[in-house]
Amino acid sequence: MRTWLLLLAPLLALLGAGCGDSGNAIRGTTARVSPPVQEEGEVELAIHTTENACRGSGISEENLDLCLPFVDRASGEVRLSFQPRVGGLPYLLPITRDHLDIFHNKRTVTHGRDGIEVEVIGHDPRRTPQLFILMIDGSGSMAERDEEGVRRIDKVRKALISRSVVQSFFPEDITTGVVLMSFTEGKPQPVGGELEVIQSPDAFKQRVKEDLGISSGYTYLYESVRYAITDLLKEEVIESWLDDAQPTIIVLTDGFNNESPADMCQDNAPRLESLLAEIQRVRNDKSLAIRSRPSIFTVGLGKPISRKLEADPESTRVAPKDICGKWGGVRIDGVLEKKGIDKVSLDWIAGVGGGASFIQQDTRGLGKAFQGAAAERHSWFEVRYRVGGFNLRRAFETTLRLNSFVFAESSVNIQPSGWLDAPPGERPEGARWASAAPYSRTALLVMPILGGLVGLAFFGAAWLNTRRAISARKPVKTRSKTAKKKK
Amino acid sequence: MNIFLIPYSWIRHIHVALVTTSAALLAWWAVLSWFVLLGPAWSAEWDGPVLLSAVSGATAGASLLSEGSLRRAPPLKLFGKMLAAAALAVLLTIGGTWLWGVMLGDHPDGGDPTLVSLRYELGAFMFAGFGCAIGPLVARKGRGWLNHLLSGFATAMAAAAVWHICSYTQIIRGNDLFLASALMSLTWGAVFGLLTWGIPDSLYAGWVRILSPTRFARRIPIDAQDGTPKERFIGRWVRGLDLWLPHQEGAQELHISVAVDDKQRYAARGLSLYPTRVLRFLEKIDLRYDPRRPAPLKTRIHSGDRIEIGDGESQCVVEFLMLPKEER
Repeated sequence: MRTWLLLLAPLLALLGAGCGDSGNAIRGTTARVSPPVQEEGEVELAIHTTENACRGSGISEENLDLCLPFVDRASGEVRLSFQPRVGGLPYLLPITRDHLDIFHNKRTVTHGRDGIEVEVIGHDPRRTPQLFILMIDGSGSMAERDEEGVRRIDKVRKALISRSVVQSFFPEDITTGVVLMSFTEGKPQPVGGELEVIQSPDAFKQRVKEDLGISSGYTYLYESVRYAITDLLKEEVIESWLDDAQPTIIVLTDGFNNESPADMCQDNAPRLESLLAEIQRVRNDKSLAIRSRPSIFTVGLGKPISRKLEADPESTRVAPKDICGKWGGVRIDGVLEKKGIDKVSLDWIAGVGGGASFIQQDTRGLGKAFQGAAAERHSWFEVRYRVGGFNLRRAFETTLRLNSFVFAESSVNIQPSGWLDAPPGERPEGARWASAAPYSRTALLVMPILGGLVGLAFFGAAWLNTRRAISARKPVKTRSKTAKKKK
Repeated sequence: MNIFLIPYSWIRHIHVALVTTSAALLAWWAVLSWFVLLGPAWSAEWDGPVLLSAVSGATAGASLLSEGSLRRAPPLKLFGKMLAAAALAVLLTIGGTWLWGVMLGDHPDGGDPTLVSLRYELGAFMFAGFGCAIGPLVARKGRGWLNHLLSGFATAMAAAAVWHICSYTQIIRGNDLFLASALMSLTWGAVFGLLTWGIPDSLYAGWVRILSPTRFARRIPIDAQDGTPKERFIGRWVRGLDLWLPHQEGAQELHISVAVDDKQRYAARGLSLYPTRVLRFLEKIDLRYDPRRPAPLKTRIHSGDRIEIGDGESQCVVEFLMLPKEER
């Protein structure tokens, strides 16, 4: 007994030394995950790392598997889930792949690059009370016709009164309102002449059909956006909505910000810079509840003047070459606006404004853009990305950064075991992503092997006895026996 | 294990390996089940030591269990030895892999316990192989120490190679540590079982058995009870012979003898001038006595060899067989 204890003591001591905490074990896998590290900010991006965290986010038991992190080294896939929160409560957002920056070990994971795939899936869709403020370009250029003879304003009208767009603006289960504004020169004007919040689909359709039109004048795009996020929100009829509803500003234009006949593209750089600073100020205004701060979506009708020019929403400093490229000194009126639309400005405004930018050329595309801006919000999201198994051969850090709506960032350190894995995930035919295989799948490997080994153990004796039964166990016929028979 | 189920054929060389392979596979399954279903109670640094020590301990224990059950050891002694060997293997494996971790220190890659790399885990495998060999070696009181040590290291290297090939290359699937770790455990058990301890011939005894119709299937053991050299005589002498054969079938008074030496090697000697042949696959040996030679002709015989006595119309056949010693 004493000898046994002496033998066991160092063993237990060593095992005791190994009982450390290097993260939570992820159920059904051989990976561990550390608690998420959250960047300071108003919005928390709560990455779920434990079942309790999932339950704390109101995720149902049947969705726990989707909520917990999953690492499948065989297919090179990683899955995480998160919930944006403000003050500990879910902050409902319409997050898509474009709104999220993903970093795997500090490297950007970009969908479509080097075979990488990324998908963001919203769960638990919810409608929240919203106030949509539509700012429609009413300048003279909206009267221009395309090859088929359809005026641009008519395309917008048709898109706005399409069934799907109306349903997006006025879902049945929640109260929403739409403010319809038109802008050209000076202060934007309410469509119909009187500022009101439209609350019924029929009234909205009627207002669009009857009152949404064009008037001559230049395009005060930047000033209209500035007005929408400042003075308009302070109007009594609007302000009364902001206690419950989240304001979403949707700006549609078909060209450039153009405030005078002599405006050249480069003149827009300081104006845009000033607007972006104002947007940033409003969106970071701590005196406003975060749910009352406006999000800005932009819709461009037409083709961009250049696909090479790109906005940098991380910054609000704008140089002429950033938005104009080689056309800095070119007049907008009658020259540049004929070439296309100012996509960079729209992207920049939407980027800093916490929304998304859409460039469309037809009615159907416009409809989709309006629907995108009015998309339903989700309570929590799954992020899936595929970077190849080789990148999962050691512990890695995954960082999720929300680049739209609000800034939020969170990281987790995932440590797959360096020695063994659970059964590889299975991907049903046609599915894009692998899902965890049931643990019972291990029996499919172990049982046949054990059966084979046991069978082989008996095979030797069986084979010998069979061989002897067939050949050697019978009496050997000797010649003497044969001779006796002959006699 | 039961010696009666293990014939004296090629299967006896792999039988222990079948048991150790099963044990290693079950150990891997147990660790994986604990990990996946219950969650590990240890940190990432101990994943390797826990897996290797489980496989190594199970293999060492299974090797001792096989030997003990074949030798009909008393249950208490059998399980005591088995547990002691397993515990020692586990202890040495955990200690060795921990030492390897200390040796790697703060190396940027080697110090990362989650890095899948044979380069930084080979030492852990070797320590585990050493531990796996030492456990049974101590239980066997140092017999075959060189064989045990070399087998332990060979086991570790083979298992490490399989683990690396399956996890790193695309031969099976690549980046799949599920199959890699399972096959590593299989290899561990198989190689250790094959190399370390095989079923010894001492558990079997030689027999001579009549194959011709008259007195068919009568048999006599060759070995003495105490394991000393022994010679058994076959012929038609009425008294004093070990196996009697009829004169009508060609047997002479003292026709042949089958002997076993102190190293359990068997040989047949031809003692008669009449035809005597040993037959085996692609071989026929004439053992007829030659008066010009000072001693009778003899040849080594193996299980399954036949001896033809007599010729023409008077002939009989006996066979030499190895059967479990307990058969007596």
